[in-house]
Amino acid sequence: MDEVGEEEVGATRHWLDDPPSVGAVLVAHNGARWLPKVLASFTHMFHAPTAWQVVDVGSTDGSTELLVDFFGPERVTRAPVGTGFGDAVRLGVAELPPTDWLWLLHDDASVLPGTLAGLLDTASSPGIALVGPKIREWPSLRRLLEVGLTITSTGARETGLETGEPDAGQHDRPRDVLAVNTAGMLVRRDIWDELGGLDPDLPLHFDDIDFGWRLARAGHRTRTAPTAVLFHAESSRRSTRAHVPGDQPHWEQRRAALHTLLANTPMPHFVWQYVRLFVGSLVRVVGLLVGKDPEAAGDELLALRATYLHPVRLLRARRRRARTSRRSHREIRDLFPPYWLPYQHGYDVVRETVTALVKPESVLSAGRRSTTLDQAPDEAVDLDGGPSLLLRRPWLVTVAMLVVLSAVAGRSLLGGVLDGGALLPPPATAGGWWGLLLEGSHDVGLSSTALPPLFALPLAVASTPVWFAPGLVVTVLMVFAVPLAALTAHRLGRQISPHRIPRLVWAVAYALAVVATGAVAQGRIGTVVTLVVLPIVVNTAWQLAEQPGWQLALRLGIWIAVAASFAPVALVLGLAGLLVLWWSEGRWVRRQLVVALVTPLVLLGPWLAQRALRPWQLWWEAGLPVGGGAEMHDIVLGRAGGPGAAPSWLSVALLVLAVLALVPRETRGGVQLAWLVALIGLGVALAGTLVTYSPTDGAADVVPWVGVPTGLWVAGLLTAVLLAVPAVVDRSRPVVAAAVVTALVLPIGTAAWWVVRGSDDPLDDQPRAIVPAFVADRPGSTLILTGTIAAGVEARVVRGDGPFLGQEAVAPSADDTERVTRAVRRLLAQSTAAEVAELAAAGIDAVYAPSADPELVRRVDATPTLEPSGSDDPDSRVWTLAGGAGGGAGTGDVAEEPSAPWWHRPLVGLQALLWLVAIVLTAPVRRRADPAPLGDAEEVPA
Amino acid sequence: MSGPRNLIDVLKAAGLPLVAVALVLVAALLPAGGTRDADRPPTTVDVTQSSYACPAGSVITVASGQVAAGSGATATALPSREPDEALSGATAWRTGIVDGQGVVVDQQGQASGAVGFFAGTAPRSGGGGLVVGSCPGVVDDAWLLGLGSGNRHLSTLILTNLAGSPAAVDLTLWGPEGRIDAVDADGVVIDPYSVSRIRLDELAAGEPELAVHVERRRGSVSAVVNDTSTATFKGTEPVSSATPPSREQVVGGLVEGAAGRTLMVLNPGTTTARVDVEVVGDKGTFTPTGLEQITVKGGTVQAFTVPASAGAGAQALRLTSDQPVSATVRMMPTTDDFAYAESSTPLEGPAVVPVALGDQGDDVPQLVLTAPGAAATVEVQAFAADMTPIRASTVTVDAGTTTTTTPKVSGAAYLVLRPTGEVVAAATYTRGGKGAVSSLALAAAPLRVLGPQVRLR
Repeated sequence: MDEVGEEEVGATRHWLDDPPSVGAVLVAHNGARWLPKVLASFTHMFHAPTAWQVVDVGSTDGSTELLVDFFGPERVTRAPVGTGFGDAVRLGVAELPPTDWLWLLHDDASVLPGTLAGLLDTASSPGIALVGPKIREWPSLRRLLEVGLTITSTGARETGLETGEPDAGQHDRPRDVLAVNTAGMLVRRDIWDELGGLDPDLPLHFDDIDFGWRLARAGHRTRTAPTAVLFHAESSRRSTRAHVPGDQPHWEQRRAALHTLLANTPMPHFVWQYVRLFVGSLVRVVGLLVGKDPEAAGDELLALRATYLHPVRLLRARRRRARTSRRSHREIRDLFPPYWLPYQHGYDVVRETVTALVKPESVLSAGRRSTTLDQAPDEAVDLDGGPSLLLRRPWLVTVAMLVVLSAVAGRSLLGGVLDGGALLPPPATAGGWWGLLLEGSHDVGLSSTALPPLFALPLAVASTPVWFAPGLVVTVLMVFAVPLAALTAHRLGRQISPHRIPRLVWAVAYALAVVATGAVAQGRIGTVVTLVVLPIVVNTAWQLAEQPGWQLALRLGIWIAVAASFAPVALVLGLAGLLVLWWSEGRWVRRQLVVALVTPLVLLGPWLAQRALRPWQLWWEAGLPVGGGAEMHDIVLGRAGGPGAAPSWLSVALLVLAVLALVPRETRGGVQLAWLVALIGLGVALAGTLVTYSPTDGAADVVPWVGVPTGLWVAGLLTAVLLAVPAVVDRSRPVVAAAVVTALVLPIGTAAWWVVRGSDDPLDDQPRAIVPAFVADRPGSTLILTGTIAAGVEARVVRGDGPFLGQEAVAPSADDTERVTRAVRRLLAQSTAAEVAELAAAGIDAVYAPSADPELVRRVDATPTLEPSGSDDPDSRVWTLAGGAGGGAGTGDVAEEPSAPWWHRPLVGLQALLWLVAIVLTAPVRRRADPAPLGDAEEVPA
Repeated sequence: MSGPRNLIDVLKAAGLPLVAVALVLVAALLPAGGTRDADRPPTTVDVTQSSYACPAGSVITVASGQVAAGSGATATALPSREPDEALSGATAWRTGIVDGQGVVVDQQGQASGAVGFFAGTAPRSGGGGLVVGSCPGVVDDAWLLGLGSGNRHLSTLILTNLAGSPAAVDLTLWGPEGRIDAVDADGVVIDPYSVSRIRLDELAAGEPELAVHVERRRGSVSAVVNDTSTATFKGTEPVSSATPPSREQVVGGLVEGAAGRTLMVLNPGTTTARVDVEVVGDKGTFTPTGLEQITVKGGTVQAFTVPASAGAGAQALRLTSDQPVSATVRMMPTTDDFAYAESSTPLEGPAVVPVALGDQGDDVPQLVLTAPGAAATVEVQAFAADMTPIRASTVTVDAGTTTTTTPKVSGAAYLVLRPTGEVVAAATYTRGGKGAVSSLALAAAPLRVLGPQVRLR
């Protein structure tokens, strides 16, 4: 403290020739905790106030006695509990003799010997009406709290300082500011009287900013005096003052902010601000609820009510300010922060919230573990003598390598939006997925009122930040499926094995198994997402087994729901997995398992029921229902059939090792459990080869794609091998070497195959031309005819250039389907205009035969009102309806746009809300955002 | 003790892989769900709308009818596109003379079996003679034989576009010497709702015998030929499409009278066809002397005189060839008119025989019924113009024979033949003056058609 004082003594002070009179007003309220130091600090001032007056606001903690002892009873004014700071000052000023300046002091703010002198140094400059000190943390720390104040357009108190910013003299240049804190505020007495002091409507918070704002509008200057230092405990803001009845509630701070903004904002900006703050406050309420800060949300609502339900009070406040205003707002505009500052603050809040959700261990409150790349303790430790990054951070290097290899393997997929195989292109913007979720009827060729697929919800959420490039989400998922799966698997690996390198190999082998099934090349985004999520599901289940709790159970249910939304068969696997958990852990997790089971059922809700009505439709994953056609040996060797699968023989070594893993007795328990999980996958995958499903009424039966259960089968075998590692490490070197070599066959072989072959084909980065471009540009839908008259015709109705991912899952109504099917059949049978009119009524205005069967072409050609049009391929034919879609082509009635049942939209909204609530419930709970109280420890001098 | 326990443990552990093997075995034994998508052959569909086009003119009577009442019909004269009220409606037999080059009739109704016919007497300058023909619907391809473009034998191809978009056809012509490279025969465009008349001498002049294949390239188009001759055979006759080339052909409806019967055979292929000809007469089927085996060079149309050994009665010819051929018989029972009997397929359903043909009278024509295979019966039912049934009778046709019958009924507007078994049928008209004759090959009314099986996905 002395050090600081010595720095300030040397200043030249011309005002000492004719020292101005200063009346000091100290306001106290249950400040006994700080008063001894505060009062002590007054005794060593180089320049003391001319007069003192103390106002004690109903203290009950002995403050009054301290004050009376220090100042004498005649200088202590008693005010009732609930008296605001401004009123208290007003009482004190009334007792003071006339002085040039008023100096306001708090009972939790101590001064340095040169504080007042420093203030007067600055105050002696011309035009200065208000001076504030540099405020540092209580009791004598170097961290800065305030060097002047301003307010953002959303009502945030802005100091311009970083949190915990140390005072290194960086703010020691006096500058004009909008306002200064009332703690240590030195104000010209005449100005104080002119402005009527602090606003009684702001009894505790924002009275300083409001005063400074009014003072600035009145044509005066407020300036900081960095040579004047004050230490402030901020007991009110930090809620460290003993509460008594009559104290201001928490929401008063926000109300004061709103009142200050609305009372001082000039017209016409006031109108915009009035609406903006109202809407913005409601948005804040939602945001605070999502961030699990219900107390702050309640404060926001109460503040909103208190402000907007008292327009007369606001009007009077504005009139009072108008009377003293002499400068336009434009002239003081540079005293306010830039317009974008609130948005930066909002971004910071969102970032913190997301960090809390995704990586709760990085925040103070307890929460779930991260599933993204992070540094677990064992990864962060630098190994002694390991100069290379590979040795020091093997997992980090591995992930980096997988990312690079993914980019190399996906070399043909980085040029545009992904399309091909089962994958459809994304919508033009993220709004497409939101629209799919929220629209009443879907315009997907034939109109549909079916419930939207729920995988559109995570896709919509994930793609919203990249609104105009939603394909990025799909590209990242597909191209970087291996590193993503490796990350989730490795996190699980930490739970199940202490052996670092084996679990690294295990994670990589699992990740490569995803591409080895052929899921990526075939555009099976459902399988990819599910296999990426699968380790998280198992990880959560593992944690649940160790620490049963409803939050973990809920989280497990959410992850199962995420996987099942992309691949509904994951629900079956999840149910089987829960049964295994119940069997292995006993009934002490029974309730949690019920929560974990019910959660996905609730979250998937009606959409799941829609699928469950045709039980085998549970095999239909996100994307087109393209059949799998896996053979038995494919599944046993971890392949799901179709193009893009790795050579099956690569998995033979895994089978051998998995069987051998059952031999060591010491690890057999865990290995058997892994085998059990693997058998679930194998059983479900084999069952998939015995059934077929029909995506829509009358459509061809599809052989299920069994990528997800096959992935589970491989994952179980890999885990069995990993769990047996402890039993092998102590064996003879030849045995270990043989096991290592055998274990490396799968990941190394698969990686080599993957990089050489690439991740494409049939997946491509160029959108498929479903219909020729000129047909896609037509206003109506296009009927696509394939097949032959002799062997049957496949018809498909598409809108524009075809559906985007998600639209394939909304089936047109059975009536429309039957109507168009009948019309097409008749059209191809008798070639008459009536059927064309029927098609036109269904919104179809073009017919496209991509690989034209001559007989089919002959029949369509003979149809009146169908006009041949150009085509992009000699083998294809296009006809357009003479009258266009919707009529004019004949006598068919124009079909009305079907409307979904009234309950569809509320239901989908409720569904989204349920997801939100479930996720919020699993997030860590926050407390009211009061800053931490400041202690009494002195800073140790360096 | 530890030994057996170890063994039990190992066996327990081995149980899991064994379960995996068992699962695979069970799955292998159960029938797989995935089957190759089987072919889905076309099935019958009730016709709900049908269109046909008839040549029209001041001397031509157009008749429209149906097997069962339809829900509506519109007739549009071409090229004026004016509606023709006389032929509208679908609940009666209608006749009328249409002012125009042609008329298009669109009829709606579930399996009503709409049919149209035209009849008239040609002016003597054109050879005279009776004309009775059926109005064709949209054709995919038509095989027309017995045509000519020289030696006072002239054929005119009448193409009618039934729709509002342009239609186009390709024409292929054959003569006795081979295929004729006619100029402008490809891509012949017929404007929307118009009639295009193409004289064959404009395509290939000087050919006394011609065969034409009309292949629709796009659009809705019908084809019929008006054949006139003032040569050794005189008269006028419409030529309808014969059955497409095949190895088995039956030319039914040969009228009585052995004179002037000429069998024309088209072999559109490249290999010489050896054709056996049999006569399906009133007593049975036999091979006439002189027509035991005829040969038709590839890419030619050949004319063969049917010898007297074939007999003079109403009959049919059955051709069996080693190459696909198409056949028609020209008949000149009198010196004043000639007629054609086109090869046709057995009736696959009810067929309508026009009786009331306006100015051409309402004499009931003679029915020539042939059962080329097994015996068959034909129920013949006469209807008044208002579709009231008048009288019905049943005709039995013995296997391999041809039977003629002329129903004794008055006031009939049309007959409906309902076959049981395979019957090739034709109607012979002898009206409109001395020696006038016309033969009409009968075809089943369009009640049902084959439609593909369609799956919407």
